[in-house]
Amino acid sequence: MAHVEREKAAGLVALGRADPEARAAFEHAEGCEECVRLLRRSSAALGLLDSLPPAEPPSHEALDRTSSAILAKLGSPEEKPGEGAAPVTRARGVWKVAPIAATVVVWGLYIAIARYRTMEPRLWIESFAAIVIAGVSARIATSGGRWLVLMSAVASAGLASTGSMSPDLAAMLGAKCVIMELAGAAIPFFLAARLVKDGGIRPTIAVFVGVAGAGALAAQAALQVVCMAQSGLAHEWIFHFGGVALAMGLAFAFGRRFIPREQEAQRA
Amino acid sequence: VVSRKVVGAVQRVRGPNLDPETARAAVTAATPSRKEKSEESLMAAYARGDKEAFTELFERLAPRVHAFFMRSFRSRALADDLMQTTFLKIHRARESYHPEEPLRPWVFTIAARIRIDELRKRYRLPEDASEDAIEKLETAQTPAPSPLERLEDATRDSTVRQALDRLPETQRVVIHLHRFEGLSFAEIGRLLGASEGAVRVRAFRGYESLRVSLEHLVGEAD
Repeated sequence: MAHVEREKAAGLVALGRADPEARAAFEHAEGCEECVRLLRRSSAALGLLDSLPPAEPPSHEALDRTSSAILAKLGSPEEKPGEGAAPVTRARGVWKVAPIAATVVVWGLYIAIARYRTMEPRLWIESFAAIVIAGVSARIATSGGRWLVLMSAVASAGLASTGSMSPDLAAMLGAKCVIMELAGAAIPFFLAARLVKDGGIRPTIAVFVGVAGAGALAAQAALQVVCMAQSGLAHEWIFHFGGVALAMGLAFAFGRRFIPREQEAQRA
Repeated sequence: VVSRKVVGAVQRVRGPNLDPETARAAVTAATPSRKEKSEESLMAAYARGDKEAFTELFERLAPRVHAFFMRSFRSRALADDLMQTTFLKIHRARESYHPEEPLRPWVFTIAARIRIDELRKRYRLPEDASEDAIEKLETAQTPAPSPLERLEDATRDSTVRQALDRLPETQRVVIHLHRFEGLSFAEIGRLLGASEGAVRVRAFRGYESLRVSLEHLVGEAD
């Protein structure tokens, strides 16, 4: 390794050996007198920070004012002890079932109101598999999973790739498919927004992307058995997978608006 | 109960003349009490309405939150006000805290939002002005120390304090959270709404400025 850069020495010392760049610098310095002196002097300079007397403490008046304001709120009849945590617990209990329920409702509703339903068993099996993944994905999204929320996109791509090589794009029908998927995504999305507002689930953008993806995937799972153009590979990729991707993209773009400012403290 | 072995070990380190009672007291002081509750469990109890938990948590965190604002704004009165605002916001947001997560980054995220609102007000910036915009503005406005200020650097402590105070606020806050609160750059980035890389660069610049300002004291120390 090259010599330790003078401008970086203090920062590396502050980071300590846990940081790979700093560790490399310390290892180099073991055999380099010039660098070891630089790091020692930097360490001594930063050590002066630790010997600083504590900053001026808060005034007694401010401490009393703040704590009595909060204690009064905690003791007020409108805010009984235990009330703080109760809504969270209730909301969490409901939320364990809500995302799965929302995706199953979307899937079931679309199949129930469809004029056409395929009789091909393979497509029904694929549809069932996709709705299970959609439910699991929604559950993961609301329990704090981050990258796993992309599971819907992967499952959607897998489902789209099952189509045949038919060149028929069926664009008019495709537009309807996209609208159905966006509507499917909107149901769990707004349900999540409501629960975030109530403090029932952790407010992160991953929640919104995850539930929107799950809702859109549930719609795609229904389309697998009710869409008359579903056998076309181009139609499936552009409209069925595209709808899921669009729903997740929109959730990513607009989800943050539904995160309350105080709760944004916990955003991912 | 402090075992004889531990007391013996302390005596070996601190010298054989250290009497066992003093050694026992040293060990007891250095060992966290089993009864001492974690900040996370206190916060969970406070969220359920436990007044005692709030009081204990407040005693632990209020000086830290206050010190954060003192480092940022260097005004005790303002730090008092902003500390109060922070705790009122924590109170409103307490249901959104999840006990499995470390409490301090969560608390400082709320404090950091209040800090940035105050900075936006101070510099008359729009509501969506980012940390980077404030940093640029600050760096341009941070004056060089005057000859009078240099003369005032009479004691080591005041030199160190002034070296810290002369840093742009955006660097000062990062160094405070990193050095004095022990948060990682990733955690600081999350709570300030900046990338980990940007925070690292800001910290390195700040530490380098401190090294340059304090090097002459190290020379004396050598």
